[in-house]
Amino acid sequence: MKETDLHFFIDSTLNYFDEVTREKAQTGIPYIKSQDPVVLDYTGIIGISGKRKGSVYITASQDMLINLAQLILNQSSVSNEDVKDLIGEIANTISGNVRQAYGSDFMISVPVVVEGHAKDIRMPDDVQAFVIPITWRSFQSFLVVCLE
Amino acid sequence: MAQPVKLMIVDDSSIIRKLIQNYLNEYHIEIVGEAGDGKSAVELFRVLRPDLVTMDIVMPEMDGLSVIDEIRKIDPNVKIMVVTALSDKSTGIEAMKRGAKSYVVKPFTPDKLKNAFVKLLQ
Amino acid sequence: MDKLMDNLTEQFIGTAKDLNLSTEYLIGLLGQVDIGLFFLNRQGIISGQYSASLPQILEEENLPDRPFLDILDGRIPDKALRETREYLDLMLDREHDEKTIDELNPLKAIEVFSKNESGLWSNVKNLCIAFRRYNMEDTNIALVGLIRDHTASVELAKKLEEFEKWSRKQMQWMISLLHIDIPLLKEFVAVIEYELGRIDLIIKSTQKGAEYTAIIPRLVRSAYQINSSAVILNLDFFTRETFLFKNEINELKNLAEPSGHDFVPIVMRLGNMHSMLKEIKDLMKHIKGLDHSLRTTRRFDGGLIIRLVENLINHLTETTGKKIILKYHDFDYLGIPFKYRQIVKEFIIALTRFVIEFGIESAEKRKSLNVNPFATIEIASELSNNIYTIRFRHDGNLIRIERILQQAVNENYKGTDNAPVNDESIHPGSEVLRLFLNPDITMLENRGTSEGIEIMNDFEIVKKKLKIHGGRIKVTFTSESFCEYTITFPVIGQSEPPAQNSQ
Repeated sequence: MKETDLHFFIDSTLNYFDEVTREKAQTGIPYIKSQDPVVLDYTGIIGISGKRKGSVYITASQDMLINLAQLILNQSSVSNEDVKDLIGEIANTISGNVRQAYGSDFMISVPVVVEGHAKDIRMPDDVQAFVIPITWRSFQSFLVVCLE
Repeated sequence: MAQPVKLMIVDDSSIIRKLIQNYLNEYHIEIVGEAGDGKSAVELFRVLRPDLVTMDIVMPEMDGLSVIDEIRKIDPNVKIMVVTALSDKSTGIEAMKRGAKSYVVKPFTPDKLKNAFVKLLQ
Repeated sequence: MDKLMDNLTEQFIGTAKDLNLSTEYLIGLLGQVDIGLFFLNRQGIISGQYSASLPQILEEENLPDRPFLDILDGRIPDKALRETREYLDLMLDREHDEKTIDELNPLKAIEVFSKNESGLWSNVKNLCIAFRRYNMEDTNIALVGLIRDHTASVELAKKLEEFEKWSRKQMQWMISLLHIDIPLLKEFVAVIEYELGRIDLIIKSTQKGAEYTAIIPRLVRSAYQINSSAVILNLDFFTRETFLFKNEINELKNLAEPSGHDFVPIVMRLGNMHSMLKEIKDLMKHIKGLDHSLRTTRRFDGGLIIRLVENLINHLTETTGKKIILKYHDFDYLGIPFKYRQIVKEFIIALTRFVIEFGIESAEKRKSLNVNPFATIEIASELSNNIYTIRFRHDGNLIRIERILQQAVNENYKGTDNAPVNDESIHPGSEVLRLFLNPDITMLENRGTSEGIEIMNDFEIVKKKLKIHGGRIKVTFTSESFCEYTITFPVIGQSEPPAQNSQ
């Protein structure tokens, strides 16, 4: 992975929150993912193929997703299905937007959603994964990018 | 009073489908159907024959560009607004070549969607 | 009439039998070939007849009556799909010469993607798809398609190329590592691991924007340690990376309010260094003798100290334009008490850096002063009256430190010093230097170049360690002849070192 890859994903993430919520999110200092799991209540995973291969996932707490869904849908209550759907949609949007930089050779899959605190999301052993901490309102979530 | 525009929403995300519905509710439209995958979208279109379709691209079963091909075979005059996270130009061009009349990139603000919708109707 | 009917019926049955036989033969044939063979009509739709291996190659089950382009849609880049459509249009138009159009086939060597059970893109195949016009009249078949799966050979070629590249790199690294003594290498790995881990922890635990600026000095310190360790061992392939790493951190210092974004180059560089360290550790497994005990003989370790200093001098003289000769014939490395081995090494290295940065002039400057352009550093030692003494002497005359520290002395002098004051007229800056060498006095207030600050940081740490060991530092000047630093350790009452491995 190169510097520009991380920048693309950071920009895409910040743009998502800005456009959807009209409230700025902050990204923290990215770090290399160690053996420690980076998994919160819900995780949306996108597979990447084409010129670049790997995966991208976003993981967030239920509280944050409920907050976000309520804001987006302008509803006081949201269902578990809405929350699961939202994390997949966030992963899809962030990854899809990065295509603007990479072109159509950057192929993204349909998102896969994992509910509950999984042990960890399996990433290829021989490729470094980078964790981008995201703070929106006071909620923290993580975008994990693993690209050859 | 003029007939409402019959709208079908195609997106695998229920949140996006709700969002599009919420944002376009103020217009004289009737949501005749929703589909969460490409295959269902084609089958539903065949039955419902909406005037306007909002179409996601990355979907299970059949992707949106293929769905556009299929539904235009059924009704070449249908108005299609692609609503997708794929922000690269070539996808946009491809969608337009296949017959989409409008292209909105996610994430979208209410104004962005509404403006595209109004332009499409004109 | 009946006879005619019978004849016709017989002919018809015969033809039908022949047709069935031909069909069976074709099916049998198609079942045998291990390439993908199929037929397209003028609309580009796959016919019902195709080879048995086609579904497996394309990883698609329901093929008959499907448009060929639909099979590829979403599985090859959009550009390739567009070009395929255009190519097939040309192939179906008999006005164009087939051989000429064949050059335009984008599917001659194409990657085709498939999904796994979870719906995630996973599998990729390298296929060669070729088309030929079918020139029989009165048939719906327009094109014959042939697909060969070259995935295995492409993968193999890729792997071979990667392996060659990797082997070349490993050889180069191995050659660099073999020149380094094993204990030094182990120490190097330990230092780098520690510092990289430290940086990882600092970054991971700093997620509030307000703290970003505060962590930069800590990152600078670790970067300096990493770079210094690599420089001492002359590991070029590593120092290239650490040098860039240091520069990137230094650039952060120039930002008034760094954001998470701004740390991206540093994080990527860290990633590279982690990978390199892993590879170095893997290579070390192949270096003989690594499984032996870390403990070495004094003779061995004493020799190491000199080699370290030589490496350091070589590196620093390259970058500073200074020329230095190292003399150590009076350095009795056998005599280093075990307990002080580490601190002596650290002291000599810190002092070497300190002296080269602040004490010795460039070759040009020395020439202009009618002095031998080659400066001399001399390290000597002695053990007498239960005192172990290291002398570090140099003949430089450049005490730049007084410009940095004089103001600090005036403004920030801390601690007590009851030693008699040197006469400044004998040697300018000597009083400052004496104060600087006092372990109880801290003189750093973020002045000077960052390299200079780090050198002084090292020295501060060594001073403190010396004090813990009961050591003392003294500096002696003779007028424009030499400057000598002496450290002394009490040896009496110290325990003898454990039994050593013989070399």
